[in-house]
Amino acid sequence: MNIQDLMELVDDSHLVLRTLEKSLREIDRRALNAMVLVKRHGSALAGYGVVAQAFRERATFLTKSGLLLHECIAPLIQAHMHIMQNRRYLVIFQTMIEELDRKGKTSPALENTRMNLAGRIAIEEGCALVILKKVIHAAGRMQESIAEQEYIVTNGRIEAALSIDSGAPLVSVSREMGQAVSTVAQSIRSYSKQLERILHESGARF
Amino acid sequence: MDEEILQDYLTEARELLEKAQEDTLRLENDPGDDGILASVFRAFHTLKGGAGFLEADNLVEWTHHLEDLLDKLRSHVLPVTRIMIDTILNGMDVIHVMLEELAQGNHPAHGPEELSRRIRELAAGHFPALESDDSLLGAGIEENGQDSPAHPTSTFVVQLQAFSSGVSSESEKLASSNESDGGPDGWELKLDEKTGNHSRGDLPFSSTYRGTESRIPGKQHDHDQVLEQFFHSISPEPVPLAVMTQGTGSSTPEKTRSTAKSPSLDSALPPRRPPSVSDMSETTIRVDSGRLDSVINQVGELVLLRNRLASAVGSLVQVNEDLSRISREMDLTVNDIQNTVMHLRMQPCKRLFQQLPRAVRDASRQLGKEVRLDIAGEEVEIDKTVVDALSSPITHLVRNSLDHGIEKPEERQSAGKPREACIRIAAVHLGDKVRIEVSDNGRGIDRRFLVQKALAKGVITGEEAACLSEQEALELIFRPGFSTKDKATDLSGRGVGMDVVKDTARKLRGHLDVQTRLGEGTTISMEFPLSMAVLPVLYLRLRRDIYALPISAIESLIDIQKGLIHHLDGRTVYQISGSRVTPIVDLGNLFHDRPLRLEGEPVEGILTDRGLFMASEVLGNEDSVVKPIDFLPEDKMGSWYQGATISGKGDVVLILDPGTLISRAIEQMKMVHSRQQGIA
Amino acid sequence: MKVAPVFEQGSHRWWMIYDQDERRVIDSNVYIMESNGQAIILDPGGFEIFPYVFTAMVEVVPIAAVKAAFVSHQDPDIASSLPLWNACNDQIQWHVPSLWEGFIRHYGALEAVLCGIPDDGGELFIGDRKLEFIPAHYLHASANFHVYDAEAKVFFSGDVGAAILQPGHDAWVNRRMGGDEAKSFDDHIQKARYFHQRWMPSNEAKRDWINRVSKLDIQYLCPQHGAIYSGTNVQRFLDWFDGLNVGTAISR
Repeated sequence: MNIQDLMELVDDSHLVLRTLEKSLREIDRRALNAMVLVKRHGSALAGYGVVAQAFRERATFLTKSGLLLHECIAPLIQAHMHIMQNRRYLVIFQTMIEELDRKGKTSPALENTRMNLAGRIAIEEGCALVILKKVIHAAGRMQESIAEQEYIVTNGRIEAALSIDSGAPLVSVSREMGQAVSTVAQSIRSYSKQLERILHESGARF
Repeated sequence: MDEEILQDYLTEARELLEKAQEDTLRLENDPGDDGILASVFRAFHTLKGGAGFLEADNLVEWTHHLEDLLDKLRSHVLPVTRIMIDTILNGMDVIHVMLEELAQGNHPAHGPEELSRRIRELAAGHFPALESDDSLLGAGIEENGQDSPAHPTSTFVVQLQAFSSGVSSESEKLASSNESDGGPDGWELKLDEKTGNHSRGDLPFSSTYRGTESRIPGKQHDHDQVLEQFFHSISPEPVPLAVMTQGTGSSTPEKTRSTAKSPSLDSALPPRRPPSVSDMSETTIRVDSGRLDSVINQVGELVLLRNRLASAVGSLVQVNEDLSRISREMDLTVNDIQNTVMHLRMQPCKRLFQQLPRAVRDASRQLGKEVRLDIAGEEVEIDKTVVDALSSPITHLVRNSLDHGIEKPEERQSAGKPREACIRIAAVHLGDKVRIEVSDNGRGIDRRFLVQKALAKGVITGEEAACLSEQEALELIFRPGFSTKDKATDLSGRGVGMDVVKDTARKLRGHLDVQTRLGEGTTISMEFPLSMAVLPVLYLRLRRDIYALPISAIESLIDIQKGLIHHLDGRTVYQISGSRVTPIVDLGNLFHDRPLRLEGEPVEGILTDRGLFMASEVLGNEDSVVKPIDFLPEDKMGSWYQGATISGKGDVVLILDPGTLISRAIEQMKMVHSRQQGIA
Repeated sequence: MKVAPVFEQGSHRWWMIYDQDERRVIDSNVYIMESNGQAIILDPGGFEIFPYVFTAMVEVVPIAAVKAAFVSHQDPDIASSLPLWNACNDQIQWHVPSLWEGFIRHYGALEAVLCGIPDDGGELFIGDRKLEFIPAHYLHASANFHVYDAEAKVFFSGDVGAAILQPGHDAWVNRRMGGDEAKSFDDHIQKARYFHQRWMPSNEAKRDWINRVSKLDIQYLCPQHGAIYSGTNVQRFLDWFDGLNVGTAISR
């Protein structure tokens, strides 16, 4: 991965984690709000109560999968930084070897070190690829989670429409739930796309 | 005395007495209603029977005299007058006292001699007819009575005799055994319903009785109505009436009338036994409330265990499908049990309200005020604890309204209001709450007057008075030691009432609100959770501490925006929407003396009906059970805590009282503000 | 490495990156200050710990937000990561002591933008907050600066206040010994004594520094090794340092 792509990935990861943090909190707040609303209406909104409960449970699950994603992003960045660090050494050795070459000299020890380093970088790149796949998997899990959450939101909308007579602001609560979920959905979707592209490019090189 | 029989008797006697009192008050508006008269008569008779069984001789004697009086009223030997009703009601009060004596295991003492004499005199026909403030009730009937001929007692008797001969042998057997006394209550009840009627014809007509005969209300065409009501009061089915009409033959015009009213009466149904106690026991069962309380407590423990199980299953690293399913099903089952048990404790507000007509009647007469009492929502159900605990506060509120709120008729008239004032008691079901309102259309509360009084009595200082808001001024009435009356009256004004009302409401996890408009009236409303057995709570975290808030107090959770916090006259408020602001309370400041830093640490807003709370995080909700706590000292503003609960994780969590917290925070803000102003 | 917030007030924040994974080089702290979306990294650390510092940093601040870096003196544990940072973001302006510019370029990145800080200090705006470069020469390097944020009351003290702590150490001096600040300090300062006695060469430089720094309102004293002194422990440290004899390799 070139440095621009890497920095783009770093920035996007930062962004997606921030969005997750904020939106998941928002989703949880919405879920709790819905639960409070249901509880306050006694048994009248039992149907919506089931939806709100499910929404909150899924929100917890979503938070957990968000955490999982978060946990594998840092190793990915760290792995690439190690690669970058070693490439830096590699460049130095490369320059020295070229310099000697120009003077018609060789240094087997230096060549050996360069080879070792290049080998290490190859291993590190392999590791980074494994981590990348992990991140992509985590992002995929996250997307599945979001799809389920969206399904619950749809159920919520139906329930809200059914209990419109209760006078509880369920329609707006459902809409807010939907908005909070769709923010996460969009953010994860574009992040996943970028990861896939990086994987594609890395795969091509390997 | 057999303890079990005594307890059974007491429970039934209290119910009978309550019902009889209610009936007697209804009689005041509807003196011609023989059904009511019969019912009150039966009540005294049954009370007497049971008392005899328990050898409570003085109670037997007392009820006997009242029974005697009622017997004469019901047979129209004597007219229903205000004095009669007053006397009957007073007589009931004595029975009430006697029952309490019995409950304490004593034989009741003699009733008050004067009242006893009065009852006997009235029964004997020595009553001051139309004297002083006494009046014959039911003027309409009286007028009609002038038009109709003297009421034909004979027809009455004939009909009853016809009825007696028409009933089945079983009924006859019952009727013939009327001399025997003290049989099982259910049977006894039926028995005297019939014997009571039967004996009408045999009543010895004393001279006094004859002397008043012309004034006895009643009309010939009322008879079938009278009888119908009478029989309806025995049995919901019109069967005995059918028997009767058959027996009387077609020659009586009444028959046509009654059959016209209820065609089904013509069908020759076999005479049925009226519902007895044993029939009733199929659908209802009397349970000692102590046992019910144990059930509630045990379900409470079950709820807590359920929460712990759910929490434990939820925190399993490896998801176990079986365990999760069992936990979910357990959750639903416990919810069902909780609901069912919760309903066991629910009672209609009628039980709370039934004492009020009497209270209003007595007080309005004593104060010379004309008051109509409107009651709505008697059927609304609420936790028994609330019904029990609210009984005297609500009477206090009503009396307070009568004493302070409602003007004298003349005063009302000159203010362009109708002479008759209205007190309205209403219970309304609102989601997970029940609201109980006591409102009047009296003079309203004058805030300036309250502030002056509070100052004069040293309840507040001049400085405090200066910064009271309108609502706060109004809420002075809830301060201990505050009373607006200089001289204590018999009814209210002793200055021990409203603070107790407020305290009771708080202890019941309720919320009390007062609204008033000068010259138009006052409404005091109280909101209580539907059930005291379970408390849905929201857990919140304040830095490292966890607290719970009752969900019933919570409107919503909001993301606090710094720009929406405003400072007004030493108060911090939050702008919820365009025009709505609410006090904002930083729990960090209140509990840790260290404000939460809005942009420096996590902060979550919890909007309640009293104000907005700032905490670190909202953790989630749970249906919990309150455990009372007694180790926390209360100060003059009451405890911050409503109690404690055990969370799903097994931790003891204190439940916050939002109302007290808000008042406390406002108090604190004011103190800081006045200190700052002092410095400036 | 871990990230701990030091100060947070809206968009104005300070973090410490600490407790490094690589134990073969001396454990160093890196600080980040952010204001209104702009960030500065203080003593960004050695070449070997760069991947860890970088990864920890992007958790809290996007790399594009880093506008500047501050280098208190020329030591490798402070500045040898310069070429790697520069590779990631060549827009970073490097504020280094003028005296050390030519030395620091030896770490590589000849094309990096270096801005020399004159001997008597200077100031820099990040976002809309001002940072002051406070001279701390001979503590221990002959050209040496500390950084003061008057609004946040954060004082970055470089090697002054440094302590050699075990892996897994806490970010704060205070938050040990059950919250007893004085006791925590006494316990902690044992791990700082030799470092100050041996690495700090001049009692005179020390006294001069204490005189100036004592006049600043400091809530957090943040050294490049060890843990942060906060609240009452700031004064406790200054008093302790004042009484300590330094430059012991020759004055023994």
